[in-house]
Amino acid sequence: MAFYAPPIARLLEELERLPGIGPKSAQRLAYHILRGDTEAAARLADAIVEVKRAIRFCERCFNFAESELCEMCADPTRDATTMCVVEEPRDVVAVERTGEFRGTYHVLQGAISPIDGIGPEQLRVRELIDRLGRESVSEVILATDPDIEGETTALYIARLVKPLGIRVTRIASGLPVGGDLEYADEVTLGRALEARREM
Amino acid sequence: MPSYRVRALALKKTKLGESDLIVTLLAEDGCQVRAVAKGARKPGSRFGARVEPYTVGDFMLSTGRTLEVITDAQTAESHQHIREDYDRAQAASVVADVLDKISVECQTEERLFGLAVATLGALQAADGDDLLALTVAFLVKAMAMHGYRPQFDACPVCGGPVHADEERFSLEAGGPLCEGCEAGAAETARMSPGARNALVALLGATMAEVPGLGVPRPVLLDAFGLMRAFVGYHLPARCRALDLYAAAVGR
Repeated sequence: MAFYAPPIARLLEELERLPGIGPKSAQRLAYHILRGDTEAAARLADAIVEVKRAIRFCERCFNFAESELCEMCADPTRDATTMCVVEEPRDVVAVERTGEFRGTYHVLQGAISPIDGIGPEQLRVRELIDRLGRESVSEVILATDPDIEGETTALYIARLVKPLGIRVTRIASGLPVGGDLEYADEVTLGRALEARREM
Repeated sequence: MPSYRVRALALKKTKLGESDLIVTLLAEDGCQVRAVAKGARKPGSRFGARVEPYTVGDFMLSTGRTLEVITDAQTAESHQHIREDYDRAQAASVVADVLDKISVECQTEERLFGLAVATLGALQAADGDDLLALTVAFLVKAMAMHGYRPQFDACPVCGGPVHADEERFSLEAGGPLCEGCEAGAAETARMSPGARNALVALLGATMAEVPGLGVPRPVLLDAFGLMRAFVGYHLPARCRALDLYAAAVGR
């Protein structure tokens, strides 16, 4: 017995494909769309179609972009001598939110994960090395995640970039602001102590 | 929800939802346990590095509907030096991937945990060719514990004598074949006398003794190629970390 009319069932099926959306969340979203006006539903559908049509990868840094270059690569005021290497386009947003970095980016499109069969060839590592050969970069900041995949990726890239005579730095690991010291795990606290600074 | 404490090695993690992880653990008794670490991907998580692969810890688990839930974790050994070196991390990924494939939920094999911890401990202090030797030693020992111990002193099919020079190694039977059995064998791989002697030595040595054996790199590469084919033949799923490691060591 079908619980839903076919169009609702189809919408639920599509919504459940989205990450983090289970059957209950899909039902809540579907009913919200059904209760809203037709224009709102059309705007949502248009936005989804438009983003797929208009957005592509930046030809230089592989961030999401509306044209050949993303906003960061197209901005002539940014410091082209410092490059921040991140795993995903969402990491660019996270770094930008800090307001502490005014250099350029390179998005690897993932991290080395041997257990998942992801090696350096599946990432934009070759393109990074090509860029470093073309552009006048004096420092590469490795801002991959501080987990085993991110650390392995950072070690691999450092091994490739250091012989080019470019300074390679890694973002610091340590205690989150607002966190309690007693709840910190041994590795994080150890790293925080290791990277302590003079006051 | 009943809860219990278990010492385990974290093998793998899979993202779940917005900020959770499913952590695959190898418990001290050799059973595989899959558990959810809620909020583990958030920077302020109390789990943090405690559920990262290669970490040995004491985990408090609650029985959930489908998966266990990690409610507390304490690190016993983080194997930090593995994370700080690319070559060590690659070798350790083979260990984790093979253990993930051969360990089974509710199926005890107490030696497996000991082998895993001894291998990771040895990898922490190893460099260069020692990493390859430890990886090959782990593969042959892990397969033995999984029920596929290679036999090198006699033909595994008929028990007859085998050649002293280059032989065909039966992937199915797990050993070098005699002349009579070699003719009809389907899945075989080349085994040099050096590789045979190296595998016998690695199988008999403890992990701490492996670096001291001083097996030459070309022989280790032969032995690795053979063990890779053997593992690939017997395990139900492909070991991707093994494929990447083979490419990295040039085999």
